[in-house]
Amino acid sequence: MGDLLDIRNLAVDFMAHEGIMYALCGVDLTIGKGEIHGLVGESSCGKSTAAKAILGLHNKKRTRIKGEILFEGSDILAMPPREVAKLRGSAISIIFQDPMASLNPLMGIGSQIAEMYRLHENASKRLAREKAAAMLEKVGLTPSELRYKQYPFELSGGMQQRAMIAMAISCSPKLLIADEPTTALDATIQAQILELVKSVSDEMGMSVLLITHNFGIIAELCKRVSVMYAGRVVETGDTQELLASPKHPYTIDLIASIPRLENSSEKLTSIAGSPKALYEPPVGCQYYSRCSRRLDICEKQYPETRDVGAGHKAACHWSHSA
Amino acid sequence: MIATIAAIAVLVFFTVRLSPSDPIASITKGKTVSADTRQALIEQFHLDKSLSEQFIIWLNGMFHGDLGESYQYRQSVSFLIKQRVSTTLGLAALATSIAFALSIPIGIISAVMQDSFIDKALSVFALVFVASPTYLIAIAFMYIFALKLKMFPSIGTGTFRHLVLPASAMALNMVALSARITRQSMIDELQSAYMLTANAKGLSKARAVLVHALRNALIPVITIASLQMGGMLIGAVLVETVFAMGGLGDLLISSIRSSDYPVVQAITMLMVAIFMLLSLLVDILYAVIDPRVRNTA
Repeated sequence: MGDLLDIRNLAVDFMAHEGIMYALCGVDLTIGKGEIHGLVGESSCGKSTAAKAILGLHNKKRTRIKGEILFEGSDILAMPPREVAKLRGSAISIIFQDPMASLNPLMGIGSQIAEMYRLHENASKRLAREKAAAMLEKVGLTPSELRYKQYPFELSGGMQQRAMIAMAISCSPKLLIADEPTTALDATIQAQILELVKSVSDEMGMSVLLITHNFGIIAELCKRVSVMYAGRVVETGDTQELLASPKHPYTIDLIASIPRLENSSEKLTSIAGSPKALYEPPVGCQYYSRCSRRLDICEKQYPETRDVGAGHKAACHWSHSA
Repeated sequence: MIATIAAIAVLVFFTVRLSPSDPIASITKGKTVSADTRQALIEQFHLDKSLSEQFIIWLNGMFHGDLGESYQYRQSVSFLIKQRVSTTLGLAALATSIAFALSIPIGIISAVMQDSFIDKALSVFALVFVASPTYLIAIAFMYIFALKLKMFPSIGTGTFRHLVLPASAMALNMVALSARITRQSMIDELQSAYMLTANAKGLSKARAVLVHALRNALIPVITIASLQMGGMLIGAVLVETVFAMGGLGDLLISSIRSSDYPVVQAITMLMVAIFMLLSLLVDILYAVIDPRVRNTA
């Protein structure tokens, strides 16, 4: 199975007032056709930055992007802006964390979906309307005639996210980026939304890049998973394999910090310290200061990414030397 | 709304009568008249009655469409207003149209090209006009476009060409402020999450800005504009005087000078009514633009 998306050595720098912020420092990530790929990491590790880079949504004046983002073999970063705009919404879609803010408050949700057909399929007003109504039906927003006319503020958070999903998948994209799609929703709705994403992916053969910081979601939905830390992917592998035998100390600590029912009497485990924003090009491993398994070399030289098992890669001197 | 109008009627009526001058002098145009004539006039205009009685007479008249008789012109107030109202309303309407037609595109351009040379130039332009009083701009316009370039008549009224200069002078002040508000509001909207969605949908920049952001950005602009339109009526008073247009503003000023109570009262009430009507229109406009308002109303 060929890769749908192949990100190679992606670096994104933000030109901030304080100086240059190195948000991504060489991200490698591949997503196969029809695959649901999990992307985990703590807040501000660059997950969303990577997602926006795939769609070319960064402000060009304030960001510097290097590397390659190969989508079906052609590099999005090398495409003229018009070509990238054509991909957006039709071949690659995205849904965000806060559906309320992400929908236009003054437009009916039906019209917001119909806009996609008008734009990408040149559909007539009537056809776009019919297709949008069918899409509402598909994501469970019924009765669709009523929902079509409703405005975002008239819907619950879960229904808003369903509307976002309907809009995102309306033109049968090959890749859906779900940027923490359930963080703002309560637990019962989370499961429904994730189930919807999974069923749509199965049905349409659509790949999904699922960004989250919840390993439970990853374990349930994702075939493969990548772990990000401070602007890099530090470990990638098949979900079962990676969860069973994590190789990077950050992944090990992250998995150890998941609260478990069987030892609920114990204190919650956490990783001491916090990642810092990078205003200088990083040298060595960024996890060094928080790592309990660090070696001398870790501070000076960033480890290369190596195979550490079948379909399992990690970037860590400690695990390479073990 | 009715309570507001009633309160304003009381306020207007009694404030006007605080002026120390003698209305009879206005009626007789300053000529000395015999005591009998004077007494007759006082009775004719109900000036012998108590203030509260006069107030009731005035209110009663208003309900029957009778605004009284002007002291200085000895003509019915309704007639005086009818003669002049089109000039003032035309002036205000044209000024508002010019203001909207200029300020919204300027605001959008500045927001989209934020911090560019064009944005900065427009911002300096706006600052200059926000700080210039309307009458100053009016005089400057009259000098440049009427006296020097002879493009438009300098004074008078009657044709559309007469309205252009004074309306532009009034508009500029409003353009400057509205454009700034549009710009800021637009910048906020351009950074919103739904605009990220609009871009992610693959919409062209023009459609994302003009269809998605603009409608959201207009809400605060309308609020400010409605307040400015009220101010526009006051601006009209000054500008009409500069351009000697003989509108309501001119009439109001001369009536205040000569203690012509019925005229001052009528014009003030008319402006209050127009202002309130505008507020009502703006509230309706909010509901048209914003479904959230529609739903709670």
